[in-house]
Amino acid sequence: MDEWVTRILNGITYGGLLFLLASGFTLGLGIMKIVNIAHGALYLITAYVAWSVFQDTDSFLLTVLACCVLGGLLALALYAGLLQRLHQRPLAQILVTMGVTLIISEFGVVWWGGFPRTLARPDPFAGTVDLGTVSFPTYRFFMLGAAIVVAILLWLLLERTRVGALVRASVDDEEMSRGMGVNVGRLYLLVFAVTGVLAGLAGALGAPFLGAYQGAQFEVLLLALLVAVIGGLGSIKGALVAGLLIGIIDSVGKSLFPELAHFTLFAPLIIVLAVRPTGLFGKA
Amino acid sequence: MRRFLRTRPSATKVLVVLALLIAAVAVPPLLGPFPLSILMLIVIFAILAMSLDLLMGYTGMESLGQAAFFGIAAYTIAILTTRYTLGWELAIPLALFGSVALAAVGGLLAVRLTGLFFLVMTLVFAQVLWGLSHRWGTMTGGYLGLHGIKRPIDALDSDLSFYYLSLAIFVFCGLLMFRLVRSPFGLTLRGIKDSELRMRTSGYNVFFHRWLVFVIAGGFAGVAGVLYTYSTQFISPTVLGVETSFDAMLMVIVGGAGTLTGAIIGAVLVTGLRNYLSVYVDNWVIALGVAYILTVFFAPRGILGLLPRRWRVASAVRQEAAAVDADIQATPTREAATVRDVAEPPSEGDGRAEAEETLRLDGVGISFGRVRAVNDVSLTAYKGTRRAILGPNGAGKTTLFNIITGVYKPSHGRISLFGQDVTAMSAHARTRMGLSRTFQITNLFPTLTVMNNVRLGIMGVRRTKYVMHVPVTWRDDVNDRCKTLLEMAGLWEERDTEVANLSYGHQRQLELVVTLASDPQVLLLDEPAAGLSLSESRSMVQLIKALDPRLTVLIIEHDMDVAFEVANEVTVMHLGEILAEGSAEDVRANATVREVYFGQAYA
Repeated sequence: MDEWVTRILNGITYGGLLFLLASGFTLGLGIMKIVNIAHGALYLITAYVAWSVFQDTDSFLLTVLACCVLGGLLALALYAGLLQRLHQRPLAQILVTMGVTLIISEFGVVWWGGFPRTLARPDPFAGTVDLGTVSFPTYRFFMLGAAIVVAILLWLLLERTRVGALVRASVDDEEMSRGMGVNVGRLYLLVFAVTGVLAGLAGALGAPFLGAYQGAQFEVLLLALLVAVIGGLGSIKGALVAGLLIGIIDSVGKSLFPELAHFTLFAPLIIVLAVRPTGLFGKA
Repeated sequence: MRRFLRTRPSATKVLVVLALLIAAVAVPPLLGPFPLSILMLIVIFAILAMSLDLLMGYTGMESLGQAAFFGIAAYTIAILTTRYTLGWELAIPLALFGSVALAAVGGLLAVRLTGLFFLVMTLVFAQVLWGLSHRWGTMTGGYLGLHGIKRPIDALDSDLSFYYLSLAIFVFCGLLMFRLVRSPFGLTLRGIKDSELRMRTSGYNVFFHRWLVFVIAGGFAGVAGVLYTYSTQFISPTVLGVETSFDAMLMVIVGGAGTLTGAIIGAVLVTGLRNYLSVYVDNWVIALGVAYILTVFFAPRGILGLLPRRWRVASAVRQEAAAVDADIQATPTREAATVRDVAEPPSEGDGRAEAEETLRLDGVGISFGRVRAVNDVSLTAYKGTRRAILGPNGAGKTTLFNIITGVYKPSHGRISLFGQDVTAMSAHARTRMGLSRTFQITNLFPTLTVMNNVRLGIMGVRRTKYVMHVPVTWRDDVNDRCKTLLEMAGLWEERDTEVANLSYGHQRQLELVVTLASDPQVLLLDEPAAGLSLSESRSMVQLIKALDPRLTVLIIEHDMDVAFEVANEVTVMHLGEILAEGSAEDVRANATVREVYFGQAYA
């Protein structure tokens, strides 16, 4: 019984991190139709930076801020420098962001070396919470809490603000938005910067958990892809539900069939794509 | 009597290929072991890149999972020969079977998806296998991989002899693929890339064609995988990784997607870059990343795309033109069944009662959300019917056509064609029964020549479409029919023009020709004269009036003169329903129609 409590809790809290990893990616995909292969690389570089900043300052708050700013700036540069000129050309975007991924990851090797860098769990969340029969790392609960807060903020931003309304209108009918005087280009730049901030946040919060290591650029990308597609491209609600669901499936699957770990992770995706390609909450 | 109609490669091309082949055979013995090993990989990855090009470049299926079929064959060989000490005689066929079977099963899931979803699905295939290879350590050796894979026979132990074997297999696979893309089946792939909807309504089971090429590409990727395992004699999860799939994609694009030669050039460049730089340059991955970005911005259509245009298309097209000219001029036209001489008067007096019923709609309707686009429409058409469907914008006319042709499934009602219920039948099956249509917005294959557009129109209802081993230009039966049809419309001179470069008026006429190419008995024309100049409109009317009188023709038209000139019956639709029906005079006299259609003042 306790085993199962731990498994499920592991799953749900890991699901929180999955949502954080995927939220920026699904936003970019849903709103701007950009398959940002470099999303994983943004995670990687900000996780590396998180390690360095935390080493130097010992402040987790500062670490998170630095990562969010860096993620946002990198995304801005990526969009303004490269992706803006590849509007509506998915294959070109995929190749360019793949190139960017290779460059960023290799830069990580040059700067931080080939070893994995994992943050120590920062102070207020370093211990464990006692849940009667089982005790559970506090940091995992923190990840889940952060995911829920981010989900609510994003939802508010998209559904309850003027900018959000403009974004939704532009997704629906870009030409009409332009015609009505909305600066769609600037709006998209802003949205893409937000996806970068989210990647940076995931990098900061993921650094003590997944860590920064070569290979993370693709693993994180795949996890983000998984969550985004199952949840429905662009759906924040879908990403949250899918993240938690996949977290649980993965945690249970891993403990029951350790050798098939990746299979249990991707099997739901194959089923969803076969039965309902638009994902759980996606629009057709 | 075989006729000289065929395109053959130009002499220059043959010479260049021969020279390269001789170099590929003569140079390697002079090379050191390192360059030789790279050459071996180039030849192997060229097979992989060409297989991906069949999907990406020709069919427009952008796959990020070609590594799956490459890797599964590679792992099958490695596992069977090292863990089960199976002989290569069994291991190789099993490995190839593995690739083909995986593609066949995975294809069932993947090819229904398009665009982004297809990309994701294929990426997932490769990723699932990559995960398995990583975690299933007892079988795959985990991240360490499997070592000590022995080459099939001792004679292949030297890299030089194995290189020659790989080269031979590469040439063989290359020839097969070159043959495939020039075949009728290959042309259908390019048709799918250009316009899937046009293909479906021309009688092609697009799903099946996609699946077939997915399986074929999977098989060729498997061949590459087998060679790869034996060449490196070591295998690790990297062969199934994202990098392998991406590299294959880069090869296709660097060289120029849609040209198998481009895939080969890409394999040379990318494999060379990867292996040479990794030895001589620190942090060479950055260079690879830069290569990705530069390719997209400076050579989006690949190295071949940078060449002057006439070098690329010239020989093939000009030759085809010359060959066809030399041959078919003054050939008497056969099979002119669809088109009647304009002078001949239509046979009057076949009483409606005896006339054969061709198309019947019973209470057909469709809703999109809360909008009832078409509601309870019943309609019967007979052999020889010429019916115009009129109605203001948004009346549901085009939607009705989409229901009749099977593009939309009606939410209620029943459709029968030649007395058979076709309500549940797919669009392509209805076309094969003798239904054909044009579209309101011209729907052709813009990157194909006029001739190839007509060829696709013809082959949709013939079994020729599945032929893979003969170039499409060699099908004399199809060529003759093309000539007949194109001359009828006065487009024969334009046969080698890419449709995107054709004038709008000619495009409208060509669409009618492509629609007639499937020898339909029921023809649906959706605003054939829309957007045409007065004279173009006149010749369109002439074309329509010259149609075989036995055809059933339904025509949507806003131009009253056109509508009343070609049709003797009229159906008026308004807000998704039939408002009036009858002869032109009846409808003109109908007060409601006048109000709706011509405005209140005329009522």
